[in-house]
Amino acid sequence: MTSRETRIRRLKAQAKASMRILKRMSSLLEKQLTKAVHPIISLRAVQTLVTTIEAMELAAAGLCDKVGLISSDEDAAMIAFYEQPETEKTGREFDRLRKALELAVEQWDDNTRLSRQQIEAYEPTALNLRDRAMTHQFIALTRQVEAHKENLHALLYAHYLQFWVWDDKFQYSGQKQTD
Amino acid sequence: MKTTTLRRQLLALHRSQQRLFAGSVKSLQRQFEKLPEAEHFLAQVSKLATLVQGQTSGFEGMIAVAAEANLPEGNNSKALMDKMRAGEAYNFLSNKRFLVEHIGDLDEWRMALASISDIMEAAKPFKDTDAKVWSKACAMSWSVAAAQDEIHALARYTDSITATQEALLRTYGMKFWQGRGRIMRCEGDRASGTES
Repeated sequence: MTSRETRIRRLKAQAKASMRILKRMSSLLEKQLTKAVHPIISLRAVQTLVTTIEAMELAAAGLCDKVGLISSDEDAAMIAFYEQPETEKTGREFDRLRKALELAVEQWDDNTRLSRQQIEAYEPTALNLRDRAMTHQFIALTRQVEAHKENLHALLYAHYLQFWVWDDKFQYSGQKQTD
Repeated sequence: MKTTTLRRQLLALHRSQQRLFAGSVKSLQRQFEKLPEAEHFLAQVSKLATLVQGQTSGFEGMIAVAAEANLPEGNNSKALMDKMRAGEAYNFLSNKRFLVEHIGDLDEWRMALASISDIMEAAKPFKDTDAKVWSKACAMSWSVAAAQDEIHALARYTDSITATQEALLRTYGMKFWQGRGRIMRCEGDRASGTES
């Protein structure tokens, strides 16, 4: 097994490369969408995906930088970190953004299923082929965004961070159980 | 945007996507290569990479033929199918199908979680007696948890790569699918009927 430091370095490099790809995908789509209207993709949808994942990345990076490399057996140090109001605020924000992102992708997939089939079934004129190509480009973007979200989670785990919001309570791994 | 510009940019994007995917596969392999318990996990990762490779080589063959043929914009599926070597589009389609199946079968995602609890259960007696063993177990469990997300990311990368490939095929007016009995079908084929 590679050392924790090496792993984190690699994960960060991967996240950087994946964000670069994501930005290229979105700017390519944006360029096309400013000139033409697409039946199921809007400029706003593209921009929302990008700003959401960027905000998630910012939140994750903030938490990782702040917690540093606390070793896993130092539970007290970890709990002290989680107990800070700033940690809870950032953690909640990350979780909220994650849910918003998942919902946005899921809803687009669901809501446009029929339209996507129609676009593929229409007469393949030059205009229609452009619509089809853009649909697939947008799908590529959503999948890349989802991959990036997984990258951020891997990075959090590599920093021994795991948290969630349950019943509107901020909870974390290693939390003392109070019944 | 001109179609040729779009194609060029999508191809460059596709190359970067492939590089990122290959790099992530390699990093997971290096992380767990010395761990005998990870053998099955790594085999699944390798299979994922092999399928992506097969799909991509088929895709590249199709794109090469299309670029060579230099046909006007519109539906070129039938014309290009006749020019293509039989294996290329089939390589693309069959690997794509196996890839979807394989992603659905990646049981190691769930196995990883189960193994974490096994690790921690086994290490529990050492929690107060041997700090070194305990801390090693904790490190291992976090590492497996991270790997689980990495393989999730790998699966999403392949989806994204496939979508970019589909977009590029559309810019050349290509659309193929497998019909009954794995017969190659393409848009505009007289007998194509409806696509499932």
